[in-house]
Amino acid sequence: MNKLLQTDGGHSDDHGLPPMSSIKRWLVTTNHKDIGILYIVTSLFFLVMGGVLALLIRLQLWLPRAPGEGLLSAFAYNQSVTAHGLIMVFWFLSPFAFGFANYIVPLQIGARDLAFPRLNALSYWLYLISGILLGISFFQGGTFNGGWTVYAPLNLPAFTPQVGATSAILALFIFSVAITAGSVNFLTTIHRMRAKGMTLINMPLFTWTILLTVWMMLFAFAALLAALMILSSDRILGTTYFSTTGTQGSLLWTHLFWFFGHPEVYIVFFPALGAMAEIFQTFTGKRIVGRKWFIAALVLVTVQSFVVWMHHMFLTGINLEIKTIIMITTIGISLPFDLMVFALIYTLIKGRIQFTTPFLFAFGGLILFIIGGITGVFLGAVVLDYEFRGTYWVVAHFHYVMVGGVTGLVAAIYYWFPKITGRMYDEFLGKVNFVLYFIGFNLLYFPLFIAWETPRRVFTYPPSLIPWHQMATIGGLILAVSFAVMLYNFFVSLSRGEEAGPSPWKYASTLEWALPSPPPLENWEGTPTYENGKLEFLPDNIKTDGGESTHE
Amino acid sequence: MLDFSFSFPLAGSNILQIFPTGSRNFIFDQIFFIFVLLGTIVGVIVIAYMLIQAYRYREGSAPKKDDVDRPKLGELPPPVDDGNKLLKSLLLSAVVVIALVVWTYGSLLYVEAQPSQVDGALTVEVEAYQFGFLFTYPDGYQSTGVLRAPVDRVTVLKITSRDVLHNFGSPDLRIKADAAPGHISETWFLAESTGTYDSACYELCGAGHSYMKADIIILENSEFEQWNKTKNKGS
Repeated sequence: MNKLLQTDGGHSDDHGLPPMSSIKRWLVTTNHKDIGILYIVTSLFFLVMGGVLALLIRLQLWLPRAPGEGLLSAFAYNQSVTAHGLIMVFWFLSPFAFGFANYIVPLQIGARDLAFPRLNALSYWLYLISGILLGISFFQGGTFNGGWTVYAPLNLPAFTPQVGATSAILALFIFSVAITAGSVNFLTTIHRMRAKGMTLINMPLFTWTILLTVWMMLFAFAALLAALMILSSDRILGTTYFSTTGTQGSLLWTHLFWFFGHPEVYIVFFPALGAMAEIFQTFTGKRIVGRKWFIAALVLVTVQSFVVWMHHMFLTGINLEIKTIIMITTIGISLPFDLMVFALIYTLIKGRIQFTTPFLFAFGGLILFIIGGITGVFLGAVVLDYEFRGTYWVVAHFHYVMVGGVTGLVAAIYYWFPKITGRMYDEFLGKVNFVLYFIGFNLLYFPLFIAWETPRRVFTYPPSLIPWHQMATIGGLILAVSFAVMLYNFFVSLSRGEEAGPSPWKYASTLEWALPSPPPLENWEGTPTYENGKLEFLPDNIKTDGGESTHE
Repeated sequence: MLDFSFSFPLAGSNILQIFPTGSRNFIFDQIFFIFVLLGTIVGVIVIAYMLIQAYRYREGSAPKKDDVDRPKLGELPPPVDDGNKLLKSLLLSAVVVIALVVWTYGSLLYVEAQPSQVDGALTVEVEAYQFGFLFTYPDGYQSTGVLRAPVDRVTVLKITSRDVLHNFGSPDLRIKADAAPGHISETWFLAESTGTYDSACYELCGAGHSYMKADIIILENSEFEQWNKTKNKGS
């Protein structure tokens, strides 16, 4: 080992940063792995917050309520359904996925960090600030209470005058800024900083899904950011872009929101899909079937995601010709997903399948996604969609898809836990977690298909549906317990888990598993390369241009 | 251009027609039933296939001798061409999904056809507001909270909103239409039996949303005409 490498190695242990046990470290860090951990931990706090709101909703729905009955007032109920949706979609799902993206993507492509580490830290801190602001908004006369879709003109001060409602809109605004900065950062990193030989087509599937996610974010959040800018202007400066009378307000907002909102569905789902694909490969001991078709399907969905938004508006002022076009594009976007589901299923064949906790969650997540997909076809048939609009069919369908995505991300946290902490989680508790989760999930969401005639965001419903809603509430409590088991498992395993070593998984193939767990601050000594068809680390001082090491 | 030339009402009048037409309940029930049936069959087959393959290829069950090339740490994915089976499966699922949705398209055209041209149709304007519905009849009579309509006759609704976005829906009569300020959405229904049906707002519209309801009372034709004649006297 030469002198340069030694000094470099010694230097990389601290890099001038305080140790991980010091709070200051987490305030000043710009390292992608540190920020990944910050995202994961923060998003889990928001999961608890959104989950508590969900339980409040479910308890209110235990029985059909007259005004003033039950735990929540009508106003509090509307705040709960709104904030639950906003928190789960914006402050939990995407940031949770981007915790893994921060930690894992640079490792998978052989980059030492993201392209702009300080910008990355800024993204995180803006995300945290926006979330805190949303929390504060509850205490400013009530948070926004017009639904997570923030439809106009209910989103104007004339109808939602609370200061807290304005704070919630500003929180969303700041969040969108954070996302936009983050997407630029990831785009630059993935397109410009891959190791030699790591061509786009060779990238691991998790990295692929993150790349396509950030491309979608770049365009989708631009629309949301624009909409939020004019809405903030209406709320704070008194402009009247979203007029309280006339269709210009409600239709303009609905188009802008869903132009963002539909790609957002894939933005939150893709990372889970990528993680599931990696986990399937690792625990079946099989490479994914039809890899290039899988990637082609992902790319196709990314493009198509921007031409289906009006299927959220089949009853909202669009004519039959446009309905027909959107119906066709909507069927069109379901087909690449069919292909991806088949690819994952066929990967099982001739595998040597290890039913570890991450695999169980990925496998279970795929089952849930299939049910979500089939019930989604119902909504693609416009005549049926008319009747499902605003009912629990929609609620049940998108919870199967979105929380199906959460299932994939729970698989991801079990999968990468040994890499991030250097310790194994408890396999028995993991399996207990999965069983509780899967039972709780289906007990919570499946009865909602049966009770689909319940109108959304309403806490009165026909008494004949009481058993189904009570079943769902019990399922919700079981699902909550399963998350408590997960957090307990991780908490205990952090100090008591077995040492994981570089790779506890027999058939892991991506770069991160070639590194110590957790990887050192600078990830590796030397330079990773795939130039010769497989991973190698070149010593830093052997530079073809003879120049100095540049990462100082 | 799309063809709107459907005769009206067609309730069960043409058995040769492939797609369901008739009252909106009839259309919905027919299509929903087929979707639930096929959806359940497809779901059970696919999930059962997954479970069987996962069990069959569990670790330890496979023969000791392993002739499959397993993933290796630090590899690049080797170029293999194994997409054939995948594309075949895709084609099969595409045929099922496209056939289903195209089949329903005829019914969509029927529902979307201009029902106000039907002879004898009753037209009622619906104005949604925070938190109720105001119904206006052709002669200008207005009522809140109760819509009366005759049985076996098409009723056309012209729906708008006084304030925020609402949605007027009745699950029993399969009515659903957005009520947007400054915009009139048109929809229709055909009640096949008399009685009182629920309707409610299906779009979150403020604190009173959960209780924004109206009754739809379906009367015999003669009763309705009787009421129609005398309604203005009472108010």
